[in-house]
Amino acid sequence: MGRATLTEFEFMVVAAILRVADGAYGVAIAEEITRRTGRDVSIGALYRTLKRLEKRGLLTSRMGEATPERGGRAKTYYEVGPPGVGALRERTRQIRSLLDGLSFEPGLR
Amino acid sequence: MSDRPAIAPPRWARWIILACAPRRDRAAIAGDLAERFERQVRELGSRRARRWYASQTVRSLLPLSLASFGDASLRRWIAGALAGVFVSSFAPAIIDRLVRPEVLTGLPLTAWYVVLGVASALAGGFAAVRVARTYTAAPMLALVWLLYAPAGIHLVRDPGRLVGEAPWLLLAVSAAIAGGGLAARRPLSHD
Repeated sequence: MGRATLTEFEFMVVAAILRVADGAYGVAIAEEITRRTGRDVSIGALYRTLKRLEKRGLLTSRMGEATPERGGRAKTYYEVGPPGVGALRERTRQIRSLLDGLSFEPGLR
Repeated sequence: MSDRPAIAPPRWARWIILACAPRRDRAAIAGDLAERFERQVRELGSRRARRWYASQTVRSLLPLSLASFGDASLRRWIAGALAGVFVSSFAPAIIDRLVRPEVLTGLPLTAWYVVLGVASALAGGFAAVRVARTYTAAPMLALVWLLYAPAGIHLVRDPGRLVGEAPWLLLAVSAAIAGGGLAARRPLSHD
């Protein structure tokens, strides 16, 4: 099996799940991404990405409790599995390697 | 339920977003949206919260439809498509042959096809979604329907009629999608 690669948004989702840890469900993940990156996350894009990552074996999910503020609907909690952590580590290594030695001062390379 | 917010999200938006969501995720998506909507109402007021909900719907339409598409098994897709094709094209053709000579006297041909076409597209959309159990079967069915329905055949024979037929085709596609939506309504009410 080839090494799993992550797109930019997948990278954000996996990192956000790890940050939120035990309570990682849709709203918490979306808010974590918005808080850290300023990106407004649509529910559709988030769930499509979560499904795709789960299908690839990078995430696992479990049903949670239903609460009144959710109209009695249950949450789905997500957890990053070892392959997900591996993919995140690999993507981080790639980004670091690309940025290594770069100066961000204007006009300099 | 007394805990529900007094301000509700736009009904059309709620309906569309849930109809397009993969079945397995509908409850979680509906719950997440309800939770975020309630927060938006508290922080931004009802008007901006409703606008936020509508924008979520528009932005989520494509990704959720694509997720639903991937969710359905091939077997369901084939079953749904066959049900849709049968109901929306072959069945009306048979009915037409059986019924038209007696019933149609005095009725303009176009009116008959509009009624029959819209009814069959509605039924086809409904059948496809009930069998395939995914709302995205409806737009697919609409495309299939266009190929088989009498209007579609006219277009293949004489593409110049496209302009004249366009509103009618649009009506038929909308009917197929509405049929799919009607079929998706029942399971949604349990979410």
